[in-house]
Amino acid sequence: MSGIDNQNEKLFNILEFKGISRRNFIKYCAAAAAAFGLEYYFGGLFAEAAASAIHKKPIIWIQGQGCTGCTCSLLSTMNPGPGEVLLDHVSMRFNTTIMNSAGDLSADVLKETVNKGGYLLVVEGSIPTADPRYCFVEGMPFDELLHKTAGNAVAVIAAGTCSAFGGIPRAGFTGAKSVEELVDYKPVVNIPGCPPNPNWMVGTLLYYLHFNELPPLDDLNRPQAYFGNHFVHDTCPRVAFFERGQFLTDWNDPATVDWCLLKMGCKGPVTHADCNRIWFNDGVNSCIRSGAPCAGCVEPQFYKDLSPLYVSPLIPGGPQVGSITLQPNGIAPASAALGAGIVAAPFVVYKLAELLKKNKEGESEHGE
Amino acid sequence: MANKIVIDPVTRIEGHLKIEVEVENGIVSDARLVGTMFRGLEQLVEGKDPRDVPYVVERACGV
Repeated sequence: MSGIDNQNEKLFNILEFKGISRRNFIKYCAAAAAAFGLEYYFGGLFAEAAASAIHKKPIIWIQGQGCTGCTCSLLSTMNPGPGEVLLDHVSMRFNTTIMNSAGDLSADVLKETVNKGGYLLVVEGSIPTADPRYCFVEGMPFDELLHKTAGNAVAVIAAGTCSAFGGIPRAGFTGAKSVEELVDYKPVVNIPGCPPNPNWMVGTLLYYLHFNELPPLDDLNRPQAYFGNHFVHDTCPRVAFFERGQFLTDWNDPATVDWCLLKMGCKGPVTHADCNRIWFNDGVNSCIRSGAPCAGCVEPQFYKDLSPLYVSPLIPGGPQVGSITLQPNGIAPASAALGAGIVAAPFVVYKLAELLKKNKEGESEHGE
Repeated sequence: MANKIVIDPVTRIEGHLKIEVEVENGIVSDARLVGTMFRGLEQLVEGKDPRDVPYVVERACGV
């Protein structure tokens, strides 16, 4: 009992030092629990799990063909938040971006942690397979390091679209592969995003610390709570303009600056993420709210098959998302669904958009 | 008698870096910096919509 209390004190002392109150930390944990559809009191349980994990549940964070953007998104918040403290102080054993030691010293830390086992492995960046020389870490090809560290890990978290699905490097010629394609002998959780929201990462970690198992995953191994149940479109701040059929077609027109970005290439209606529900950078903003159309960065098709990013999928010859063919003809399914009052499926959303476009726009067809 | 110092990886930077320094009688005689990761971002955006390029190449460094 006193052991747990000591651990709790340790965590809360660190938090206090960083200017985060006990109350705020438990609130943060409760929010993470709520995302998974758990009862309110799980917040306290999550906080306790975090406290008892201090220096006990190690994390190894390795990086392949990445840009460190995921590390930055996850660790550097404006005010050091509970998430940063949790990742930084509670568990992070090896992360070359933030660790103090370099060279042989850091290699020793890695070796020691790998030998002990029982850690979570976080991988950022894709793995080049065309030629091992495209990425060398610690004097060995990155795929060798990945297999070496994944062997003793309890689970592998692929943080960011590069490691989850190949992301931007997959569009190049380095033969960039995702973690799942190489590591088939360990459970892999994909937390895609370019970069991912820190809450997705920390929430998954808290869930794992408390239940000692991975959260429910969707068919692409993404946490159901953050990806499977949502479309970016669902909570879009511009959704009212979408429903009224008001689409931005000229970036320079101040009168339409807040209008729906669908025609400027927004992939929100087919992208599974809760970006507009829990904003990025400590709740400062999200892509669409700041005026950028959703690029669909959490989907496996990103970036290669979602390019060009600023061309609407409504236009014939525009990008296709998964098995959904986004063509502006064949509006029959949409009208049928409208009759039934169902507008949830992305296919129907697009058809609905097409109907609205035809109704509202009439003769003027400029911009795209 | 050359003494070689190798620091790999260099930490607290973006990406991957390796430093090799050769010291001879207390004086640095040779030094190399090696960036050990390549994605081919320039080739990747060839033939793409020009409006995509800022989005893609800003991923060169996420710090």
